[in-house]
Amino acid sequence: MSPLNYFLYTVGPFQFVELMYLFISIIVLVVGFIAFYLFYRARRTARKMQLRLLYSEHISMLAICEGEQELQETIYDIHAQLKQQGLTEDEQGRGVLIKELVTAAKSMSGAAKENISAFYRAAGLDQITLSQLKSGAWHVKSRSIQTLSHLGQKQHIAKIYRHTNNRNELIRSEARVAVVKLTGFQGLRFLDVITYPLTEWEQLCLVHELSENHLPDFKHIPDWLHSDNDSVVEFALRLVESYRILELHGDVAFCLAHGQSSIRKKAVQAVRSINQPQTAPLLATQLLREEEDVQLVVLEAMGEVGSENDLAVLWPFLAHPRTVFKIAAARAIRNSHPYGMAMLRQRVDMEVHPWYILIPQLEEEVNA
Amino acid sequence: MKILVAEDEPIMLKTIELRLKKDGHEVIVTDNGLDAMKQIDAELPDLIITDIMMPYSSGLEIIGKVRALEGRKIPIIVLSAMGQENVVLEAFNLGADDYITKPFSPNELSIRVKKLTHSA
Amino acid sequence: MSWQQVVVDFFTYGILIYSVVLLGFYLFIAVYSIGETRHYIRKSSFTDYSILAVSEKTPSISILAPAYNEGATIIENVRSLLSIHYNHMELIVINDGSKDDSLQKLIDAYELVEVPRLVINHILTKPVRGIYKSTNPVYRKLVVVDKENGGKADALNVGVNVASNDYIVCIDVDCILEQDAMLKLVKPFLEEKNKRVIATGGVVRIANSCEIRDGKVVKVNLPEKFLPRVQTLEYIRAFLLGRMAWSRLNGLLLISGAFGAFDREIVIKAGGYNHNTVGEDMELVVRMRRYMEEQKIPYKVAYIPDPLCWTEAPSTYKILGRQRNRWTRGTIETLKLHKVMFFNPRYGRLGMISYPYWFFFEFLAPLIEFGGFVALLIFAAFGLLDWPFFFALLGFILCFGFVYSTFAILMEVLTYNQYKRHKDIFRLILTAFLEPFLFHPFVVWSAVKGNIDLLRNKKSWGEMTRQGFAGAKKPAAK
Repeated sequence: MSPLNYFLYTVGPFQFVELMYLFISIIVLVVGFIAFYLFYRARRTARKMQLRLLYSEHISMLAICEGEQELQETIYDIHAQLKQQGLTEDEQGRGVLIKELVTAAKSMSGAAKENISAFYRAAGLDQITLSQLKSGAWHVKSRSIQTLSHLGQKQHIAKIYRHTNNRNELIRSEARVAVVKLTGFQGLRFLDVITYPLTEWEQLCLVHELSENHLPDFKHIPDWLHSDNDSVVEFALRLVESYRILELHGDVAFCLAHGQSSIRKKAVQAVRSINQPQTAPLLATQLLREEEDVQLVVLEAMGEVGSENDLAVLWPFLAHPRTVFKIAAARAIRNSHPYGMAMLRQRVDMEVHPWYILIPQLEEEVNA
Repeated sequence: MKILVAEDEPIMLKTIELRLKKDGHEVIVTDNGLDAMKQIDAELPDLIITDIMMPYSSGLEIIGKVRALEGRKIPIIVLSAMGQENVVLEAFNLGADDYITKPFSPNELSIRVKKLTHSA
Repeated sequence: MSWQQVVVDFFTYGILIYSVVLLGFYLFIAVYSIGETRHYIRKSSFTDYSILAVSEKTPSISILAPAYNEGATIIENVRSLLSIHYNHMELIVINDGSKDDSLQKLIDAYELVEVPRLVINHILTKPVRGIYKSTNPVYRKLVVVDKENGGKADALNVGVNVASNDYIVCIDVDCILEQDAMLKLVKPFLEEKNKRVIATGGVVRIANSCEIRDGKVVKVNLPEKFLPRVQTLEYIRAFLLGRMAWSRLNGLLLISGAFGAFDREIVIKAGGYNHNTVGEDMELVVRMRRYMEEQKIPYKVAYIPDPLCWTEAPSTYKILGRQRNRWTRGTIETLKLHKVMFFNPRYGRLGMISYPYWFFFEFLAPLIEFGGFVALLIFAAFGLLDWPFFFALLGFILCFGFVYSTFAILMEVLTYNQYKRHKDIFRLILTAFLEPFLFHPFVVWSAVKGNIDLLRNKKSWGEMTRQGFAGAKKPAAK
């Protein structure tokens, strides 16, 4: 008997039958669980909806309170009602309430938002969030950081700040956004020390956060522009660009010599946004010494900052072997000189590709 | 005065409703764009407050449709988280009368409603 | 040992090992996907995607929608695509030499005029006849390209050439997208610092019997007809278990042609869509991955499990058969084009796991199954079959399949829970029990036919006749 036959003989049809029984019991269990779970969740969801409805009444009452006395009375009333309904000790109830408070605080500002934060503290809900901050599960921790920041709990900032360089990317990302939400530009001091990079997503969130009613403070940006952490340099350049910080032109120019081409591209964008008399000549020199994919970005920038003095560096690019360069250079020339378009028409042969179509395109773009 | 509020976040909707009622207005609420259009046809509100990002139909579409209606011009206030220049411009170009970005203050909304209805 | 014995042993051992590895993979996928799904859902539970909608500096995207003879629905479909929440986007509709009046309809409805535009041939394509833009600023995001007919891949390549943004999103023009679809699809490109994200794939869900109004899914229903319903189950298994596990391994080979985002620069460097295959969507991902492996640039293909894209599934055996036939040919052609990667350590996981998995378990599985069935008939005819053993084995395999399906349904219930009526869930479970008898044999047969057609070198498209959505019963009267 071959070993295989032996194997099949010992495994035999009956072992398969036994396995089949095992599978069938698994199926029965899973289907049973699905049924139970659907039932359980339907009830839980129904209760949750009920709670949300109740809380949204309370929260909107809070939001429209005017004056300290009305607020204190409302807080007292709501608390009394919740207590009466046994909701102050109910875990699901508290969870839903905190979530609803966060949603409300997110889309409101001014007195309304402060009223909501005041209630959160007065009801002792911040203590619950703080205990979640100690959790070992990343998602619980991250959520508690988010909750504290949305509800403006500045007094706990130290506890949040220490997570800005956490090894879990989702925790550190929430912590970074949170400190900025709470303290604006001041919160950015974590940029001095972080070793993990800032992802594009985080940079986007931070810039968005800063744009919400925070007083600008650009003191530390020069340090960040010279940081060893490339993503910090990138972010600093982004700040220069969004706030058009003219006085940092020199520091940004320094980044044009950075070793990473991705950073040089961002630096080109940044100087372009803080255009000054020295910008165009600077970019013109940059253009000549750059590698191709940065050159394209420089050409685009020249279209905005260039003047008739810069045409000399641009003309040669019309003969560049790659068409994208021809287009970028032609656009830059068109924009750099009041008669740019006419000069282009004279220079190029309108009969040949790509000019017979590119010139009308460039004209159409200006008119559109 | 009769005001229609279209906003998909229940707490916001409730807050706006209460705030406007406090000012003595009659308030009709809806949480999606489709229903908003129906309510506008049925209730003929004197003023519309609408979000942009809503289920089924965006606030911008609502402005477009309302402005395409014949007859009197209903004032429209846009209340949205989108603060980008091009979106704001698009809203005004389509015919919005005011634009408030979230996070917003309910008190500010109340004042703006007053302004708009007095000048109208 | 006689040579006959050697041959018989070889095959029996082979089949045994094959089955054990296959079942092992299924178990692994089921278990391995759980962690990834949980992680994703937890993460997105506190992610504010609207930041992407409200920020000034978001990645710019070009949506590519190829259209061929879609005149009946094109106006509504474009309107629905234009209403997607995303700021920095352009919508490029590519009219692939339609024989109907699609182009004229678009021109009339969206006030289009032809504009002079230089199209750079980063990828070689059939000639472009003209580019149109709207004179009405409301439609400023719309670009319509008219080109000579060249098939879907060629149309997409024209789109890649015309696109002016960093990322391209390819969609089927008749798909229904959730309004936040782009926000979710774009986010993975922003999340990696040490790797380049070259593509993001989304989920396609089946819209048959769903309530559609104004180009949006208003209510999700389980398809009434059996065929779309069983495909719903199939898609749940594939997207919630299979792709999730593969994405965790960073080994995804397929991004649905109906809904995926790509880094435009890498698409161009890899050479764009291949118009010589019917499986251009899979082929592109494989080629982009291969390019990155060869350039030794760290990269990732991301995957988003949220149900964001809805499409109509074939509801007759005839159309389904053509679709599966085409999928099979696409898979084989792709595998053949990139056979150099087969167990080639130079290509890392791509060569050592993903490619072999597709070869053995996607390409060979239906053939082996079919071969087994033929062998079974022969054995039975000659009275050589050990019937108790056969039934035990059959029962075992069937039960394994049921366990896998019910597990997938459990995951659906625990995660996205699209079907709110409890009845629907139990109907889905019932469908799982019918699948091996009423659906699976047909799919296997279509795949076998795909193999045969490919050998005969048949390159037809396998036209997919659309039946119109259930919502069409109450058309939006306008």
